[in-house]
Amino acid sequence: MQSLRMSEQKAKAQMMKQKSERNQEQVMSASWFGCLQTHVMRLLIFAVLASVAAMSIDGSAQIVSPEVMKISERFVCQCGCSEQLSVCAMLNCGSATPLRAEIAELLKQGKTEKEITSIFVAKYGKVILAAPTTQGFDLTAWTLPFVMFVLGLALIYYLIRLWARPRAVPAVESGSMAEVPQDYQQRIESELKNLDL
Amino acid sequence: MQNLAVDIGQFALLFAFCLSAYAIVAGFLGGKLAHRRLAETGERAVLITCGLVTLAVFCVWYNLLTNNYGLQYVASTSNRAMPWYYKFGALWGGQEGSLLFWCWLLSIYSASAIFIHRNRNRNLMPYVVSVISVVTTFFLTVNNFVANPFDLVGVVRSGAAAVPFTPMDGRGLNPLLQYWAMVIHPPILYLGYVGFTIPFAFAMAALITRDLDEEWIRTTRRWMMVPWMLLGTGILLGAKWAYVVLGWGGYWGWDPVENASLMPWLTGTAFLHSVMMQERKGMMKVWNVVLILSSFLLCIFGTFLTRSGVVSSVHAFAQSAIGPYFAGFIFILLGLCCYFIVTRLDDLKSENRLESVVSRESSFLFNNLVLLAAMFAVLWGTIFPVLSEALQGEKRSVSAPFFNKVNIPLGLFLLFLTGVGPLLAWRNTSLRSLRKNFTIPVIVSLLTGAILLGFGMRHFYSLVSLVLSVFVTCTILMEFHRGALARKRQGDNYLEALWILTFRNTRRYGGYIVHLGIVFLFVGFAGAGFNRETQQEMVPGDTLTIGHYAITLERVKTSNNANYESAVGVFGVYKDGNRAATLYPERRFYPASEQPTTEVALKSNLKEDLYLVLAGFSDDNSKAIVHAFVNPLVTWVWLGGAFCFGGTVICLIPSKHTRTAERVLIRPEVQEYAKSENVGAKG
Repeated sequence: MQSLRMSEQKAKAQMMKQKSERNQEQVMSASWFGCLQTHVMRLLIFAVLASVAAMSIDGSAQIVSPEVMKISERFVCQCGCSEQLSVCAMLNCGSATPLRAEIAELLKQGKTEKEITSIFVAKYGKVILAAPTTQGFDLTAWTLPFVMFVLGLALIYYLIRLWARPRAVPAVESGSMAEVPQDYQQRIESELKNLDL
Repeated sequence: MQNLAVDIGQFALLFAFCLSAYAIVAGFLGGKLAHRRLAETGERAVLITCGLVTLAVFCVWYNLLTNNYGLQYVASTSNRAMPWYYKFGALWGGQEGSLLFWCWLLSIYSASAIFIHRNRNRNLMPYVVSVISVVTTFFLTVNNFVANPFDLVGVVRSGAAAVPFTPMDGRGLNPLLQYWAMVIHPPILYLGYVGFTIPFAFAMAALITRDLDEEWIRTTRRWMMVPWMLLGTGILLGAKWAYVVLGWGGYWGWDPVENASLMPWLTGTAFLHSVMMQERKGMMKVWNVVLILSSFLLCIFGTFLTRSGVVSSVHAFAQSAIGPYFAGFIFILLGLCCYFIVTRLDDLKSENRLESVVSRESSFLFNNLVLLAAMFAVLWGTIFPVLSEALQGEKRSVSAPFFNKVNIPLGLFLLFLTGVGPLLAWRNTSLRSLRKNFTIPVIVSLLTGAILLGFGMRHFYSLVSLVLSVFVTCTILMEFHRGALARKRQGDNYLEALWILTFRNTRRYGGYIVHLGIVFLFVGFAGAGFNRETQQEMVPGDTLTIGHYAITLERVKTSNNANYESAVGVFGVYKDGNRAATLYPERRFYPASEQPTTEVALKSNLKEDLYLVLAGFSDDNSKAIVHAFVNPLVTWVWLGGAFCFGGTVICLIPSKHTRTAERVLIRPEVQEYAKSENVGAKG
């Protein structure tokens, strides 16, 4: 796992270096093109973005349409972050970026959300889904928390019945309480209420 | 000098390990044989351990700040270009350092506990020392023999001769960690995690000695409150960090590491409520012990889960082969806990009694049920991928859609109880009092619901959350108002009355402030139903529209420093045609780790956040790719966190009559009387 991540990082680093070299070439050719432009604004814009290109902060980010984003919510990124595809924060992620592009491509081919889901499951396995299915053992993922909640409710019902059962109280004690004047009882109640608990 | 610091650090860690192991034995035997002086040597060993671990920590800091890349830890978590404060924070930026940091905090907690309890709980202290030392020794074992922060680069541990090697520079701290919250979020979160050791130690000591009267639970409640508060604050600081650094527009992703920190917080919350049943009525003694022990075990389990690589997580920077050690430790602790609970059941007999179903007591039962069900749902969802792989042979993913679906209904039920529970009287609540307390809140919240529906709000959960928030806020404000009015009649002005009221009964009113914080959190969560986002390719002069904001890219500034290269977009933000702000989202590239990061730009107010990300540049670098979000009500989340923190601080200040009660209780003759008569000063 660890070594895989290491090699992934190395590969990514190499990719970035290549890209940065490519970008520098682009800057040179683009600068030549820019000099020919007469439009001052164009030149300005170009100058700004060309300086970006000269750095390692390279291109490759892509616009993800809202439709793709919505379908991405159904899947999990496979880069190890375990986040939804729509959420994976890693820039130029080796998993999220191509998967999102694949969704966009499938959408372009006219596939529906359901069809894309089944294509993804067939291709990558159920691990790609953001939440377990509702069949077989997967169903326990959904039901068990609620089963536990209902069992807890049943336990509370049982406890309340058990604890609320009237108990034998020594006659003297009940008699003595009955003799406590009304205003004393009220005072006890109000002081109990204001106790620091 | 650097080598000397390494040697001193190594030696300090080894010596601390020996002393800590001694403290386990000295504490236990000192308690068992009632040998006061032996027990005291255990306490002193803990104090010296604290000094030694502090020394080791300073040695790591010295090496980090003086760039000693001959140390593996320093080389892998820092580099020359990093500013000093990140080098300082690099102590908890990797596996070995963060474990040492954990150990250091634990040793500080233990020393503080020994100091605070130098004259109190003396019968429990030998065992408290012993139990804390078990945990310290475990961490020191890991730090000395498995994940040593003083390991040198290039040293071959077995076989061939060791060849030390000092690289020219380090790999640098993970860029995602290079953010101001990094310097405070992990320490606060760890203070929370580690702090659960102290209530755990007191509970174990009380179980071992069978001295399970009221004093230990009072002590434990206070010790539980501090880490609970810090853990909650740490979690929210982590959320803030995720929000600002990760750049996906949200603050909570149900990542296993987030889940791991949430679980002990939930059981801790359950304990802080059910403990009142024990203090007030002697009920639920076994349950409270279970909650204390499980909170601590969940802390260790969370650490195991996220550092062993068993579940994949975005926090991959702190993984290694320490998993089996943690798993073994958990099993041993679990066995011990079960043994002591089962053999002490007779001593934990509770005076369980309910006068009415509509009472504070039963509301606490429901509160505990919801909190534990939420904890179970989080635990179950977190370990389900592992279970599924083991049982079905095929891995499953469990992420936000699952956790949201299961936990939102539970959360809303809890919010409802937050409003109802505190206003139910102990023992029995009359219909008259129900009507008096709830008529106004119910009317106001229903009106709010109608207004929100009228304005077109159709998101079910958000609507319920906001209606319940209004309901709970009303009940809390009415409580303050009633109390203040009562005092006002005695001649105080209204604000003064509120102030005096709060500090005369800090637990009650501090608790209400915490509840208000929780309400604010839910208001913030409700906003998530209305998040909007858009992405656009832009060149200077282009405008992007989202909600009622028009955002124009004015220019892109680039700069360079030794640590990173940066491109900053300068955006003019216009609201309804008027310039409202200038935002500077940034994209950085860290050459040392070859990683890009984004620095989000925010324009926040109580209504919404405008969240701007410079996601990158198009393939030909001709256009900037901008990701914009409008996230309503997010500020309420941070505000809620601040209220929870402030409210807990108020709870921790002893109120006037608590102090009197404690003074009475501390007198030996009163304790004797309380024991012989089986009564104690409550309140």
